[in-house]
Amino acid sequence: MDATNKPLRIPPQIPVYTEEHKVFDIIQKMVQKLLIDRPEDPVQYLIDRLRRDNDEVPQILVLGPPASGKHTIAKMLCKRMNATYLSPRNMLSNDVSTLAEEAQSYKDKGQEIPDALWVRIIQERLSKVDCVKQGWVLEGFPRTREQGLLLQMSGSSPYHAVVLEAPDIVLIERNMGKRVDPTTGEVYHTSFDWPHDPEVQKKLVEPDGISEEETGAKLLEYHRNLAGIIRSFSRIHKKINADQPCMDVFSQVLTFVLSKPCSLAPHTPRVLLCGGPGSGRSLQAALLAQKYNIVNISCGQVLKEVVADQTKLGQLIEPYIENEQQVPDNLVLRALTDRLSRLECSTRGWVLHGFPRDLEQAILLNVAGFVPNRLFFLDIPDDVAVERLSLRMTDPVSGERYHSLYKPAPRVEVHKRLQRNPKDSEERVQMRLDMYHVNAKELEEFYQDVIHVNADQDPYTIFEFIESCIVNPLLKSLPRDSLSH
Amino acid sequence: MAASSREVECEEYLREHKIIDLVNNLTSLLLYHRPERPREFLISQLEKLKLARIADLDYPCLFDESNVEAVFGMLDPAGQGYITGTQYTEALKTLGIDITSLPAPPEKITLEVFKHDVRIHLKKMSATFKA
Repeated sequence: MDATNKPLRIPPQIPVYTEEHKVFDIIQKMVQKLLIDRPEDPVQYLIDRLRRDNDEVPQILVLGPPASGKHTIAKMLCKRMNATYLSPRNMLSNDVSTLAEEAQSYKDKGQEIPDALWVRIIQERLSKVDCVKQGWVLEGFPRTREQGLLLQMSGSSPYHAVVLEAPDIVLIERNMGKRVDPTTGEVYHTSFDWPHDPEVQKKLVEPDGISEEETGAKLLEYHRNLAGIIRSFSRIHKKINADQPCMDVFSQVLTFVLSKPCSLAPHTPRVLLCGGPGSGRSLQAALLAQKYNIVNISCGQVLKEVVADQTKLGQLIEPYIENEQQVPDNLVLRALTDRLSRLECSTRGWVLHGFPRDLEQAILLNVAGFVPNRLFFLDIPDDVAVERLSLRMTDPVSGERYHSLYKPAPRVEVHKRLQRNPKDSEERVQMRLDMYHVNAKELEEFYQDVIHVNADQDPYTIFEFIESCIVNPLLKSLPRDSLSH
Repeated sequence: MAASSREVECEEYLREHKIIDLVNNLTSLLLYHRPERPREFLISQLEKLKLARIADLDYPCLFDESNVEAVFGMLDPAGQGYITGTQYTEALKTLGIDITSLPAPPEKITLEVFKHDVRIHLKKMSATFKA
């Protein structure tokens, strides 16, 4: 036999591996950086880059009108994400570099610092080891479109740009209460953020330019430039309303900066739907399969197919199905492995339901190399499940299914011939529910990143929710979650 | 116009330094070996490539001598000692070698010739840097 005629199979480990180690993203970043910097010796350049291992560090811009709380938010972000805080002011004063000196001399003469110089200062600062290793949060820059463009051209672009927003009237009022500690440069506020230490209280002075007219002028300037700046960051910026309590603003900002940009990596959804009887797994699976062209695999269906095909495996399984006994795990797994390792499943992705039902089966499935990347639990109260199932009837003539509450039979004669599946009797449903609850806990612990769905809603509402979870990348997780919870 | 000239520059850079081939090789090595720590693995492969460039041998490559012999053995199960030209082209294709620019192969190809040719082609493919 010619070797090339054998059906092509992609080992299930490959997609799992690429996803787990983000192979696509690593490679993409490598090529991206190569094209930006275009080094003479790409091999050595890549080695250095890979050694640095800083693809995941935060690189954030915080922009906003005066008194919108840029400083506070940026500081909090730095503390939370362990990044380096940068602002135009601290870059000028803290630097020992000649560039900063040059800029300072412009400032002393009362002149504007040229944009090109600014960008060089920032670039120099960003290439320092703390910014490279831990990432950075830059506040209050760029101020104009030119600065934004220059920053972009220099090759240092942020992953996220936070744009704080508040009505002008709020900002003017807020700015009037601003007080500054002249020794540390910390900013306080007369009504929102008054220092506890009486020593500090005494030292505080009113900063320049907090009167209504001056703030108004600054706001005008800001609004004039904002549209141009945002154009440079059209895909990575998010506007956040800053006229809220500080912690609320911060938590919104944090959620945004933890979101990953949509990766271009080929993504094959491997979805597992868990849920008790009557929770709507097969309906959701069918909807997903239809919309995203992924393979719908129902465990029971697979077993029946195998039996109908009269394969060797099918003959082994047949007696169990006929006697309504549970098919042993190893046989089920063999049937599923056959199904899941077909090429269409590796390329298009799959949605599996009806398996695994308990911890042991889940472990077996993992060992076989089939690891889901999204896992949903469809939760419904027991009485809803009983109601959904025990009132379900099938018309033996047309095969149509009816429900005496939600979808009654259209005519009396149809209604008369309706039959109920003996599996749907109230006692048996309750039994299946109990079984499910026993195992659900263990399953949930076994798989991390479980997504719970309230399945006691309209099917399309549930579908939309599941969809959104599948399409969007999962949020990055921070090592310790002390502040947000 | 500025953007398009940049695009051309980038393409030129990619071609000149054979970045696409380099990345393809690295990805296939990565997927074949599936190491625990992909970054370290990539670094080691790149280091190997660096050394190979200096010494001009031992390029990191997915296939070694035994693979090449195995391919030949598969195509010549009767042990005649040669394969036909069509088989030769197909074999090169299987090994991932670009065959579009190759001249038509002769009728019969022996193991020695096959190994020699494949070695040259594989080396050309793995030498992913500016010549």
